Amino acid sequence: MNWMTLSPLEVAAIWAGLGAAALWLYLHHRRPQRRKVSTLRFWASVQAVSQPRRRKVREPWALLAQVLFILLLLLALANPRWGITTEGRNVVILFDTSIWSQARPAGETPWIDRERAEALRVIDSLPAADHVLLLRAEADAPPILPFTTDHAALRRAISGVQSSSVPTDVPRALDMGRAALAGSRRGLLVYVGPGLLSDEQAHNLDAFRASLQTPVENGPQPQFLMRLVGNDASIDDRGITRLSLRRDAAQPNRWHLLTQLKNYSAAKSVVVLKLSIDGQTLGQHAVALDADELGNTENDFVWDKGGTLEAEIGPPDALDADNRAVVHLPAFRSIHVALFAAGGKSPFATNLLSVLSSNPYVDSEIVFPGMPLNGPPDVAIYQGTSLPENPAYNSIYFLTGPGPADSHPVRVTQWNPQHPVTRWVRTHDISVRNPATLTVSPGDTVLASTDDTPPQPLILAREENGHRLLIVGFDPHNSNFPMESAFPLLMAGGLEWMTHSVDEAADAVATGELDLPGPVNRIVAPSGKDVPFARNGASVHLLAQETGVYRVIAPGGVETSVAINTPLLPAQRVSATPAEMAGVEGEPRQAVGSDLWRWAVLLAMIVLWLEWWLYYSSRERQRTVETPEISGDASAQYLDGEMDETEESEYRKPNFVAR
Amino acid sequence: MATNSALLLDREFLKTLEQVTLLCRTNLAGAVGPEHRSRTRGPGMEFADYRRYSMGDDPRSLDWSAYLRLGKLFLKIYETEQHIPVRILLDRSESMDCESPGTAESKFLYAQRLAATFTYLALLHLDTAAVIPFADRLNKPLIVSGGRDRLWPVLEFLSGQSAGGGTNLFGSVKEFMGNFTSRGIVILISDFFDEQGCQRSVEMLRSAGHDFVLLQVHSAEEQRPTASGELILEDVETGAQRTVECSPQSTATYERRFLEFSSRLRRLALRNGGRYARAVTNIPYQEFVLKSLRSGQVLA
Repeated sequence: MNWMTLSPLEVAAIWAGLGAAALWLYLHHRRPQRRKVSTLRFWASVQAVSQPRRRKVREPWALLAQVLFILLLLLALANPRWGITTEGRNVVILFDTSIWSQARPAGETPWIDRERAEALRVIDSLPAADHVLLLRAEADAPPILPFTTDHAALRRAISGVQSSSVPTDVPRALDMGRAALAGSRRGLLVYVGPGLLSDEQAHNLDAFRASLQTPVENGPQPQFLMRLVGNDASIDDRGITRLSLRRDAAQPNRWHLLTQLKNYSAAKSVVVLKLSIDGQTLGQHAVALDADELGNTENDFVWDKGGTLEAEIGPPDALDADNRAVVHLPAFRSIHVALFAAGGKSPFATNLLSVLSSNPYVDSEIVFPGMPLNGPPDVAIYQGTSLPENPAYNSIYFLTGPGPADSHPVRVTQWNPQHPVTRWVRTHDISVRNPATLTVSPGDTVLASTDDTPPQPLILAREENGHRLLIVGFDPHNSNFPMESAFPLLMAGGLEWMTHSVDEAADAVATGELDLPGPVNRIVAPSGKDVPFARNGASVHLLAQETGVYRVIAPGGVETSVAINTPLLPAQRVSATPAEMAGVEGEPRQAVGSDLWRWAVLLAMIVLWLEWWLYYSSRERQRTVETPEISGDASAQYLDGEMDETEESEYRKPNFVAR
Repeated sequence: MATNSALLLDREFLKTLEQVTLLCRTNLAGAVGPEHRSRTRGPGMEFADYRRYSMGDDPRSLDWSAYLRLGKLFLKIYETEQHIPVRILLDRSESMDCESPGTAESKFLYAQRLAATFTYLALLHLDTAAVIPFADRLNKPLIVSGGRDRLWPVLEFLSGQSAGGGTNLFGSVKEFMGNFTSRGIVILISDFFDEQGCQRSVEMLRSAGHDFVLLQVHSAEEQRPTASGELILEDVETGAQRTVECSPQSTATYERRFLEFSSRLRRLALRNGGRYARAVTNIPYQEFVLKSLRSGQVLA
């Protein structure tokens, strides 16, 4: 019996306590209600309760049934067993469905099929009573089939299991398999797969093997078997392990591509790397790789449109999955900046234009009064003494104070390091003359202030009518700010904040666990399946099992793409010891009884129904006994006569009037 | 329980009452007035019949046209318009204000509304009305006359009344007989829960020649209690207690006893030449007045 870690005495005490509670409920009478009435004369004929009731159980059989019900319920929880049957041991099979299982060496069957055959052989060697759990040999060891003795179901599950593109983590999966076997008698843990691990995983596997030799408190260590498929000679694979793009600093439409290639085979080989964007070939060249070499190759190309860059290597080898990699190429568009000059030759506009021209991402123009705009600007820059009512564009205002130009200089301090505009500005050497008095509105962010007491705001960031404004409260000509390197940084930061940054890099992401910036409503895998994900603050966490371009759909239907590629694969092949390659050890079957808890619950339900029936039938009997008592009550003697039936029915009508 | 007088009668109801008359069934000799219909022949405006002249008749009533045509003296007979004092005995004992669970308004408020209604009807026909509250004895009455405009003091008076004390119907009626000697219409509004019974009171009203109406007011809960289980009941007037087991069977017995009591009260009223009406407080008083009392020939 499983007494819920309670001794029989404790269980008996619980039963006694619950039985006492039931007895109390049976003895308990509801406190009578107090009520004021107009007269007691009509109540004289109703049975009076003249003295306090003696506490006695009115329905003893119902009480007995309830106590029996409690006993049966406790017995069901204790799960007693009856008779003797045999119970098999627990078995965990770790089925390696990682990316290496997709390998198909020339002239051989795919490794996944060989794994299936090995797993089925293990299943066939197990006694029918053994409970088998089927797990994937991956980091989080997702189950393929829970513990079952149904060998047909196990065969179906093994036949139906498909390879993923996730790298394996055999030691972690083994730990989880051992945890699943904990608490039972000696179980069986079987790994089926190619046995290709990283250096770290190989080290962890050695530690796992060592731990199997040490006894533990919560049961014996399981028997550990390995069923490896393939061999070292059969690994004939070259793969792309990384694609990295960098935009040229001086020429925004020029890209530098770094391609990392790995030769997993034991022989030197030459691969042809072919690059294309959205199907348009960029070029191809051969790359020679030594045995087990991880090499890099660089390519430059000019491309100002967005698209998907695809790198492909040939000739075909044992593993197709890592012969192709993609990366999403961000589009480029220069920022149009309009400098509104006050009139004539504006030194302000000319000087600022020289600053902006050094930025290759900016396309700037000076707009004189009356001159038409060359299209709506992304950012407008003004100089003046006051702000306009409704800004039409994202704008930068340089406001001059009303005082003389040679007024006492003030130092600019307290740069806001949190804001993207002033994130890179750290200088304390800037002083300005004749600053404007800026009014801070609700929602404004002060980016810099004077060192006065109290400090006066000098630079504000504001969002108004869907536009972003940067308000600089001094004339750059009345300060030493343009001489400092912080000035172009402030301008670049301001332009970036108003127009969002131009992506300067793009990297391919590897399969496995990923974090993507949110918010996200839906993620669709290259195969079209929805990928489950967890929200982690503003970002989302997911397990990418396929390679290719994932569609990430944000709230509002905004869709972006994420390219997922094959990572650097573990390539160290593990060797199984003779004990690990041995057959399944015979394990004596444990004699156990069959469960009786179901019968106890069934009986308890019957007894509960019996209790209700006994209770209510007893109450009904009592009522029928009470009725003749009432009719024979002598207190009705004062009445002067009984009504006949007609009279009574007439009297039941409200508002009766007789004349 | 003091009640706001504005709540007693609504304006629409008062307007409807202008078409209603309080019916008098008894020939009340000497009570002659301008606006009250009766079955009595006498001086008045409404022509009723002719009869032969006999010595001693008032010659002013002779029909000279008939004499010229027929050569015989005929006397015109008119329908007498009586001036009838209306006395409303309002029970304000503690039992009238015993709140029942789920009841919209108390019996006392209901009785106050009925008393105000009868007073208004009397005032409409230029009769004199007396509202006389009683409990264990007769209280100070309010006597009004002079038309409908005098209703407001009546409402004020009724609002000032509160329930309290036991019921002594016989003592109160006896005192009433001593104070109001002339005959008239007596409307006794009560629950009639007097431990001494009400037979002697009714017989006393009959012997004094009053045209009386027994108006029994009770709540639906008093007719059929909804409580169940063990109850400790306390009589609000006497303070006596009784513990009972309330079951569907005992409730049925209770209701039967209550209906028998009402039946006895009705027989008592009819046997003594009076009228009887029973009002349940969950029926709107307007409906009771305009439908039940009219169909029962208390009102016309």
